[in-house]
Amino acid sequence: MRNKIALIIAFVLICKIGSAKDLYIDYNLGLDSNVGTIDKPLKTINEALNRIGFISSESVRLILLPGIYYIDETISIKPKGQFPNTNRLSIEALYLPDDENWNPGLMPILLTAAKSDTAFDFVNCVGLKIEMSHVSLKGLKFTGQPYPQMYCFPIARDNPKFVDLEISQCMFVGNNDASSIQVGIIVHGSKTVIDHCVFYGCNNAVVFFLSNNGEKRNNEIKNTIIYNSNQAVWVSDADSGFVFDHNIITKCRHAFVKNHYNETIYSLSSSIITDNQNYLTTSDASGKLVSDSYKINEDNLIKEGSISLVQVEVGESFDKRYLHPVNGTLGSELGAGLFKYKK
Amino acid sequence: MKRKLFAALLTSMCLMNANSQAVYVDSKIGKDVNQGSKEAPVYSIGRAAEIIHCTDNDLCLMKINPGIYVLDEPVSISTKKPMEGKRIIVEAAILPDDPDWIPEKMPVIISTSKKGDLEGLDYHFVAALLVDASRVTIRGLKFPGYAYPNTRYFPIARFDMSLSDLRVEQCLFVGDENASHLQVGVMAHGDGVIADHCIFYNVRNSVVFWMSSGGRVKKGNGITNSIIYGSTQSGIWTASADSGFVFRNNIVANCLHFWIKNGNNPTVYSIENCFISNNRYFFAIPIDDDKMNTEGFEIREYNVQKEGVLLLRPKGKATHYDLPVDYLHAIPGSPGYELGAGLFKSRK
Repeated sequence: MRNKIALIIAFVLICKIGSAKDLYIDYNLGLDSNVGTIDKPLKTINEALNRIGFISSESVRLILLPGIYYIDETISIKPKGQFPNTNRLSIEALYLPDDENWNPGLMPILLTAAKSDTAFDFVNCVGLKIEMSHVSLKGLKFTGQPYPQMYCFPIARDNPKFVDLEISQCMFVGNNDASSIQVGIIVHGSKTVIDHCVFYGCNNAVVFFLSNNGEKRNNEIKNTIIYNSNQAVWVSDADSGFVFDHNIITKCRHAFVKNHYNETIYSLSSSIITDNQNYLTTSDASGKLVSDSYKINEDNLIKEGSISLVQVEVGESFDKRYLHPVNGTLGSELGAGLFKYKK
Repeated sequence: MKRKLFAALLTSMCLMNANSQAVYVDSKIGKDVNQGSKEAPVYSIGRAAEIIHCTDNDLCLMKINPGIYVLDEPVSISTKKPMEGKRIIVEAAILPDDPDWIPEKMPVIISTSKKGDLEGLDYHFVAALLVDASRVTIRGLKFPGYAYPNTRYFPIARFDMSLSDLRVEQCLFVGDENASHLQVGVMAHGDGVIADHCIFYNVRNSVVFWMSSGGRVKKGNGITNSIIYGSTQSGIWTASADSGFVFRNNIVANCLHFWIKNGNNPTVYSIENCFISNNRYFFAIPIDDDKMNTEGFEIREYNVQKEGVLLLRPKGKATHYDLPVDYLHAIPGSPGYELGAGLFKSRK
């Protein structure tokens, strides 16, 4: 009898996992009056979020078809209805980098040009504002603001009580004048995992910001490329269980920044940190960035040599390895970048 | 009595039309069901272009308020109205020479068109404003690039070889190879294409003066009072032959090639009062695709300065709404400053 009950519970659990609800979104051809299937996709992420509470109490995937998604107002990432706070909300590309016929031209692009908001107590422009726990973002590309003087944050979480944010296989491409990104990902709190991402030309790539009790836990950045940032990785408050592994940081002004009061001894492993103006930097009490030499645990770091990334060619095709190290050159064997499996 | 009232109503409607000389667009407060008056602007440039296109009004001037304008598909600039002696004008409500202008007041035009929406001769491309009429002015707008960087994106395009007279004035084109790709700022066939007081910053090609119908020599094209910086292909590209081409009072710096001209174009161009500096190659003739012969061709130079480093005003620290008013212009003391090239017709 007990076995039977266990079996039934297991069966129910499997069904639950298997029946995660999918909603499809196509900015070019979708309509917000559609049902949200792949044949009848919605147009906007906001409409998909509106529907979540009413269609399912299970984990939900919002699946984006290729296209340019213009974000003119901050998208608050939380379902409008009842959504159990143990369930996962995933926003992901229909085609993911490891799919056979994938190329960068199939990445949905989220163009953040939102009206100003006041996240983190100062005026800025946020694309996706994460306001729940258990969120995944997969296979998306983010570009920045056309007003270059606005602080633009494509992804922000300004409430440290939320945990478990996974950002994988995403690309952030900014430029000082044409498409400004102040910080690619800026998050308070614990358990933000950044895996297999590429940051190119963002003023800051990632800021692991504040905690609500003095210490953040289990934040990770791994298998990621950061190229041409002023500050690549910035850890403000103290951390425990921080993972930094298999990353490439190059052509940045400051590779690793921590706040002056943060006494955590960080461990950096199996990474290439080369061709940056400063390796370790402290943000001092006045907020000034000064080159420093605090203790850090290093394991298998390469600090010499130079990285060259595959550049774009205008035309009908699009090189899969765009903004990844040129094959056969430094970094190409590390596995950092969008692909979980070698291309 | 009833008839009289009706007549009076009709008269007042006509008067209202006659009084409102422009269709206003505002992406913050506008609505596409509005008439497009200053008080009740329309929301989209597409709707405003429809109003200009139709014959049920006499409007041919579009005034665009500050804000970001997203074009999901190319917008045709044209009209069915009789246009003798008149122009279609698409311009910012606040222009660079107005006293209350700041860079943030420039309407920003962004294309989110489907990639490869328009089929060209041998490749797909994306365009924002499609100029389908003669006698058109586009003035005071800002165009960033397109988000998929392998795309041939033209913010302003004119594909009809029989058209003439397109003035692009006081417009700012800002691109980046990866984040905001701009293949050609103004891509235009035909005659009378003038870019005046424009800035092309990090665009792949600023203006391509393309072809004419039947291999005829194009007339009256040119670039004046403009700054072209950081082009990754050409500062300027003249495809087929020209007569009366004007290239005056321009700054061209830090480009891969200053001037590209097709091999079968016999025109000897003249340039005057310019600062042309720090470009990797001065001339180039395309051999096939992107391969260039950089040996050079004849060009007549009058008062051309080639020495010195151009200094443009950077955006400065990001501190919210305080871009310098001369952002991306030559700063005082920089060579080329005295030319007055850039967005302002009278110096700020």
